[in-house]
Amino acid sequence: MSFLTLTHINKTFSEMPAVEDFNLSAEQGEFVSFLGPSGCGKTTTLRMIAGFELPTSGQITIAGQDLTYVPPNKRNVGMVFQSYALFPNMTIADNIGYGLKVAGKSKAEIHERVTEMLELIHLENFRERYPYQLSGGQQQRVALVRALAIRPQILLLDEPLSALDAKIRVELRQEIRRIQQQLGITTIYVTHDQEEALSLSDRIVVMSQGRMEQVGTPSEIYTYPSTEFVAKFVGQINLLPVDVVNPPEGLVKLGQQSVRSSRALNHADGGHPIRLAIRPEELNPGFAEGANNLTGTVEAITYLGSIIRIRINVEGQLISMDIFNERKLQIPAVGDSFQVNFDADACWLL
Amino acid sequence: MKTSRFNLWGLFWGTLALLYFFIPMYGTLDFSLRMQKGLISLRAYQIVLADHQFVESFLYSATMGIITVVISILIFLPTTYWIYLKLPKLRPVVEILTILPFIIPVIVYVFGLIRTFGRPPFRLTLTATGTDFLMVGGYVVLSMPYMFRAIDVGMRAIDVRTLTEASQSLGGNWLQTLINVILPNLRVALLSGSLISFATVIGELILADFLFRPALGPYMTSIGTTKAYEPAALTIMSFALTWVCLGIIQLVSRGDTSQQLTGR
Amino acid sequence: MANSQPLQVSKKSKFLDILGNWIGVIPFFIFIFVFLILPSTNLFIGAFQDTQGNFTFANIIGLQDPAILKAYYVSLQVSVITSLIGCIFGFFVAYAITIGKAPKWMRNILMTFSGLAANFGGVPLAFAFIATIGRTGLVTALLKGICFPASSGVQSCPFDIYENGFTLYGVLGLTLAYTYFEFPLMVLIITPALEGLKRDWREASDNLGANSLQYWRYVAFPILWPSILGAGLLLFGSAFGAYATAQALTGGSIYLVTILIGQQIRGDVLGNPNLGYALALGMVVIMGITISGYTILQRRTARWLKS
Repeated sequence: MSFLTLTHINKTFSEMPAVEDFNLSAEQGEFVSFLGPSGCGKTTTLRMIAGFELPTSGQITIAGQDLTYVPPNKRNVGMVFQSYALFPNMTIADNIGYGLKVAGKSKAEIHERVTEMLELIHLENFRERYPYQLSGGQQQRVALVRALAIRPQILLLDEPLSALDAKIRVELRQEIRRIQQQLGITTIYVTHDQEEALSLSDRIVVMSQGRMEQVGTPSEIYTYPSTEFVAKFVGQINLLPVDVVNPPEGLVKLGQQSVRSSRALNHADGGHPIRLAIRPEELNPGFAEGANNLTGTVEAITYLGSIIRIRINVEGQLISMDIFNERKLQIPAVGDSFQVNFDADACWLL
Repeated sequence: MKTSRFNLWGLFWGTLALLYFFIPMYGTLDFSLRMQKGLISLRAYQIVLADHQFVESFLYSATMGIITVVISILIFLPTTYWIYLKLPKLRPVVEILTILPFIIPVIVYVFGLIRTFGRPPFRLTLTATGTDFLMVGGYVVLSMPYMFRAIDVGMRAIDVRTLTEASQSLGGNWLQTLINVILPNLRVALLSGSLISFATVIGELILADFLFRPALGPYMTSIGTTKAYEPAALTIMSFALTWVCLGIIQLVSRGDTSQQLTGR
Repeated sequence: MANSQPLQVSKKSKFLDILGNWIGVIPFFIFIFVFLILPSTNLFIGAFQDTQGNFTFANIIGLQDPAILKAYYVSLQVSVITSLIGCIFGFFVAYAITIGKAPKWMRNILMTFSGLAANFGGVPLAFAFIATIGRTGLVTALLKGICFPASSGVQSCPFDIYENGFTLYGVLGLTLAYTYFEFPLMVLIITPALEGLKRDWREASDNLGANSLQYWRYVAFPILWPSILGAGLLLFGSAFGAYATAQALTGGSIYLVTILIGQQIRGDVLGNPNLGYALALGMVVIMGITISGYTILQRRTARWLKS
């Protein structure tokens, strides 16, 4: 039996559907990310779990209890806000101890718990400081343990790292994951950053315009995207219009050149043009026996640091290929004729 | 947080406030319409408007108001601009100075004015023009907090520094920048400040009373001692005037006007 | 010879430089000096002089005259009471406008009228209250008209307020009138502060298990109290320095410091003009303390509500 379930959750804001038919079962200790662009409904769904919004219809249960209409201060879920929402008039210690104080715990117990939390984030010396004296990253860590101090059943994070510098973001997200695993707490993490979602989650829910696009592990989402949206949103992708030759065999034609895909069409041809999907990193330079081979001209070469992205014009279509920037590599020049190859397994038809 | 559509507590206080606002207004309006026994009529208003003393004192106050506004802008606009660009350190000093008219009650201020300028070597109070000159100065000081705040808020909102730099990089000198770039963007702020200053001058009593000038304030006081219904009519009219001024401000400025209205 | 020339030029241009930097603000400072600094300092100097112009503390000591002390007492009394009422009333109205979610039409009217009423004072205010609750005012008449048949067979109309000792033309009436512009002033000042209370804080507090009372006690009021106190000080200052309404309502027969000063300007009620200056100085000292307190509290709030 799963720990957190959302069943047929719908939310409409005055005629505008914000979330449509959201379903999820999360296990105890699982880290689930809601991933999607702004306005896709991920934050609204999170806020419904927290109790700040009421679903128009549907049910939310935690540990078997129906919490759909329970007020937020009775749910025992911990929430970390995007803006940290630390109380400016209280010290760090008082902030962290707030949930315990309002629950009527003894001073000794509060003190002990606060110390424990501060040690978790290595900010023991900051007990008596005020939020404005801390950096963004430090404030976010305090916000995290403030939510954890009350021993919540579930931890909710609403884009907690979006206001921070890139480097701090990477450090902090690893720390969040470490703490989460150490405590074994079921966690829902909302983000629009796919790198965060991919690196942290046990499972990802990709959302778009209020609907769930796909639920799966990071590698499932990445390697087997089930909809065009997911394929485009997560990672880079080439989508090439092709002509169908033999659907069951997965044979198509890109201009004059033949391509075979081992993953056949996964939906009936609804009359829209078929496209060949392949990730840039699956392409290899040169000719390979037994694989798909394409010939074209180099259009542009982009230097991205550890990756070099080469754009090739094949029969009027632009294909991106990503290769590692190793020193021994021979990089073609713009205008050169160029060959690329890829496995039949690596591509699919949409 | 459960968002309930009606909050009884809020509703209660809101209603109480509305009552407190409206009852005196209604009472005054009612009184002003009952000049003719047993009838609702505008007689009181007609009498007031036909009273040439009213017209004269209104014109006097209105003229004073306009002159005050013009001089205020001429003094405060370049000053604020200058402070923003060249002397930002002076800002706290100027801010304190513009708060002073709040610390010094008007009655005390007029006391000081008379003592300073009513005696030798100035002796301004001996002539009408001299006194008028003094009045304008006093009025500008009284409206200073409002005007300064309005301009200050306006300048902060439009990032004066960057606009000036852009203008300069395209070749404008400071006068051209002020007139072509800054001024048009401050139209709303200037209008707000002017309207409040104007309303303040029109309704001002103490300065005019103690300096014996024929403004609207002293006229109202004298009417109050001799007539019954006309004062009520005058009150409604002055309230309506303030309403028009503030209404225009609300109309043109879409943001938070509370700073301008309190001058703080 | 060749060396001194550049030195001279640089000194001159440095002076022009400084002048150029300051030229924009010179008109302002001249104006302030003539019309603000000069009259004020003149007044305060006069407080320490006798009629011959010699330096003396006699005026300050003379402030202990019982009539003057009474005036200060009444002024303080009226100001404290109206600012308290205005504070509390205004806070709840501001609450109704922001968090309390009064209906939208009510909120708009309240905000507009607060702007109007806060600037509505002096003589018109007095007239409005006379027309409402003066001897022949509307509300007075309405109350007088509420009659019940008494046991003795005669009609009893117990709500004739003037019969029962109420008068508009005294301290109580003045308090009522002052409240009319005090509580809107509070609404205008405290509304931005209430709006500055981030929704996040309320949600975080809810999320951590606190109820409404705990939220207000531990989070909202601690954040708000500098604003509230500061606004209260401003209200106090407003009432303390008011003149016209009191004059129009009482004809000058009430013991207020402002009225006393007014009488002093007109005629020689106190027998010693310099005493009047001392009165004025006393007022300004009190106002100065008030406004300084306000500014300090403002700074404290700004830090929190801006974050």
